[in-house]
Amino acid sequence: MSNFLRVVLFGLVVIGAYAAFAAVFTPSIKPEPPPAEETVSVAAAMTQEEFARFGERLYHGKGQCALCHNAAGGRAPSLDAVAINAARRIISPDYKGGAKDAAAYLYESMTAPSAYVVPGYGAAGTSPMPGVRKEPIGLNETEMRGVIAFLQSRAGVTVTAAPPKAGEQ
Amino acid sequence: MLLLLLCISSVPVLTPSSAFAGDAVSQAGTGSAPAYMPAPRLKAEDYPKAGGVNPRLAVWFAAQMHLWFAAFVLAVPVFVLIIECVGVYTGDVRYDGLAYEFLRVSLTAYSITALTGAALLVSLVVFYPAVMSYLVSIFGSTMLLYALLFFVESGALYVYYYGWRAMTGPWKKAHVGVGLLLNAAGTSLMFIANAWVTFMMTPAGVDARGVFDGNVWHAVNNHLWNPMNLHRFIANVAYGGSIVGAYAAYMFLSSKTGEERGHYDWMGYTASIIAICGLLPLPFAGYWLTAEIYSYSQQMGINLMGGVLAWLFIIQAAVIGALFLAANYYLWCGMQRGAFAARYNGYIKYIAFVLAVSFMVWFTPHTPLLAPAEAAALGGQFHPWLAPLGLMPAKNTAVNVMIIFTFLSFLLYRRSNRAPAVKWADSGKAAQAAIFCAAIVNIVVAGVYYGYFTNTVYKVASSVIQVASTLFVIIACSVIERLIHRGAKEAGAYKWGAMPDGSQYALILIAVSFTWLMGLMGFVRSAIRQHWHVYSIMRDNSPDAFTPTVAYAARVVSIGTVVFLAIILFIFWLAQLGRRRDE
Ligand code: HEC
Repeated sequence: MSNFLRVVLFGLVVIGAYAAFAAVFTPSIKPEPPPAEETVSVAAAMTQEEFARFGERLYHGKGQCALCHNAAGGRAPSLDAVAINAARRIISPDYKGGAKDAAAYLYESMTAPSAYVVPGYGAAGTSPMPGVRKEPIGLNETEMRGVIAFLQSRAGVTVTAAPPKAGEQ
Repeated sequence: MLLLLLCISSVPVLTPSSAFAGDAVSQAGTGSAPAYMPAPRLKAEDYPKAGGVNPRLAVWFAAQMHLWFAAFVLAVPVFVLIIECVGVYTGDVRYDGLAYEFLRVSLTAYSITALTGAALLVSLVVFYPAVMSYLVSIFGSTMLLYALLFFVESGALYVYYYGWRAMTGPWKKAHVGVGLLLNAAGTSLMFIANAWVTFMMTPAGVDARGVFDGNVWHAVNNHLWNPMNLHRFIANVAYGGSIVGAYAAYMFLSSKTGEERGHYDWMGYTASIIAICGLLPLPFAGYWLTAEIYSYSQQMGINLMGGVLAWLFIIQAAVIGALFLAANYYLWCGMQRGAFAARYNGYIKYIAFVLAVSFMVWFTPHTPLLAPAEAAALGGQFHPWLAPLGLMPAKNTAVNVMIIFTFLSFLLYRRSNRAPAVKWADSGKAAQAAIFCAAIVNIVVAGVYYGYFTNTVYKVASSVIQVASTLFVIIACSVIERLIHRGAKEAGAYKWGAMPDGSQYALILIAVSFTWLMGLMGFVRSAIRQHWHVYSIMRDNSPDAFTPTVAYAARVVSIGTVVFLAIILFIFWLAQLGRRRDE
């Protein structure tokens, strides 16, 4: 075989090997499609449970919360009982934020994360968590309320975040 | 050629901006309204369709081709200038000839770069007109500068090349100056283009609503601009060396005479040393880039390193591992050129062992997908002892150890033909050994401590200690090495050409892997923008906004690599024709 062919063949084998490696050894997970841009307009009134489920979908989907708030990554505190912990947070001496009750704390955590940074997860005053009202996440008021309803029902406390009425955005 | 230049320089400035200028003017007409509009919210209908052609694929392919060629034509002049200076410094005319030979190659590649640039531009304007108008509205002035620099670069290239033979003697310095100008222009061009792509990832100079506030410098000097500049520049140096090395390898394999083999062996060696010098600091530049991504947006960082794209880094690890092994293998083969090679042959197997172990640690995935039953058997998603091997500190440890041992191979190579000349040589060597050991202990301890005993948030800190240790080894040992060999005579001429053919395939492997890897990393850089043209400001609402699978990306990159390397082969062939004609 001529040298030229041998070198070309060698190059093709190397490229083929990498491509095959990528095809065979990586699981063929399809990345999630981009979240819907249009905010869900609520056609009919939701019950409290439906509203919490609506929040749960946002929590795992458009809200991207589960990306950081998960047990495996360890990059953000667990939110399993945050609706309970919230009441303790706002009375702790190093809390400088403006929330007066637990639900308000959750709301504040989403819209102004740096108001209070959980110790061990970043320097005080600069939370690594993005404000979720802003892009790239961009939740609206109803959606954030839905997430709060989900967090409250998950922690087993009374759900105070009220579902929207029919036709409300 | 001139036509091409014109089209490069004028199209982006005229076509899209004129569509946009209308908006700006009507805005301005209403009074003191800002000159900049918020990024348009696009709908699926805003993306032109061109029957049958997948717009994303077309742009991706064009961009990839342009990037490879651009990297090549930026890299080769860097290489050529270094070699020319070495030639001036050592007075060895072989370097001058080598530099000149390569500049010819980059001349053809230069026009192809312009061609692919035009193709990229056209595909962007055709398929993503709104995105282009938006970017032009912000970066218009830098695009003019880009065009200007392109003329400077072209001019400098022609003078540099055609003046090579004429500008000798007292003019040689001026010639080196032209080379410097050529590289300065080329590198600035890259920096400007980097500003555009990094702005799309980490936009700056925009207000809270995402509306650009009119300061071009802010937009240019965004979060990732400098890390990207550094990373791409170093990678270019390494890339240029690797391509020249592959060329030399091919010529070596086809050489008929021993003299020819010797020449191309020497050329391959010179090129590969430059490639390795670029390769060693590259992981550090990569860490900086990644750290900046995290600090800009933790969300973007997690998307990069976790989730689906995490697998891409497994592939990257495999390719870089192959690169390191090939580079070491080449150095070990190279030892045989020297008179004292036999002294060091015994060590090779240990170095190989350490490299293999480090490689495996590096390779341990963090997020292996386990079936629920497997996870239960293991007692969780991660194995309690092995899981930390998948984390950053372990990978940092592995890569630093690999770098240190590659450097050791290099030292042994250097010693294969020289004996120390100073009296205190033994203490010097002992000091070197002590530095090596201390650094390795330091790196491993830091890796274990941060890997097993700290929180995720602090794990990155391990890299600082480790990088510092590695750099210290390289710098301190190089200095000692130089001192103990001061005045040392070479133990006879290197036996250039006395290399097994396999070593040449190692050089070819390095060049091919490098090309492929550049493509893959280009994909991930772009993929972490997700469904945004400009992250968090301008959403991608085209049907292609979704992220493709890693395997799909690998296929696109593989086909691209084949096409690109085929064209490069063709260029080499043309250059050979040219050289024969000259002779
Ligand atoms: C980019 C990663 C990231 C994303 C995405 C994210 N968070 Fe967070 N979050 C953090 C980090 C880090 C902290 C801890 C620092 C702090 O307190 O600000 C945190 C803290 C919190 C807290 C306070 C926890 C406590 O114990 O006091 C709440 C509540 C919270 N996040 C809710 C959410 C919700 C709801 C979402 C989705 C809409 C979300 N986060 C998305 C990273 C993230």
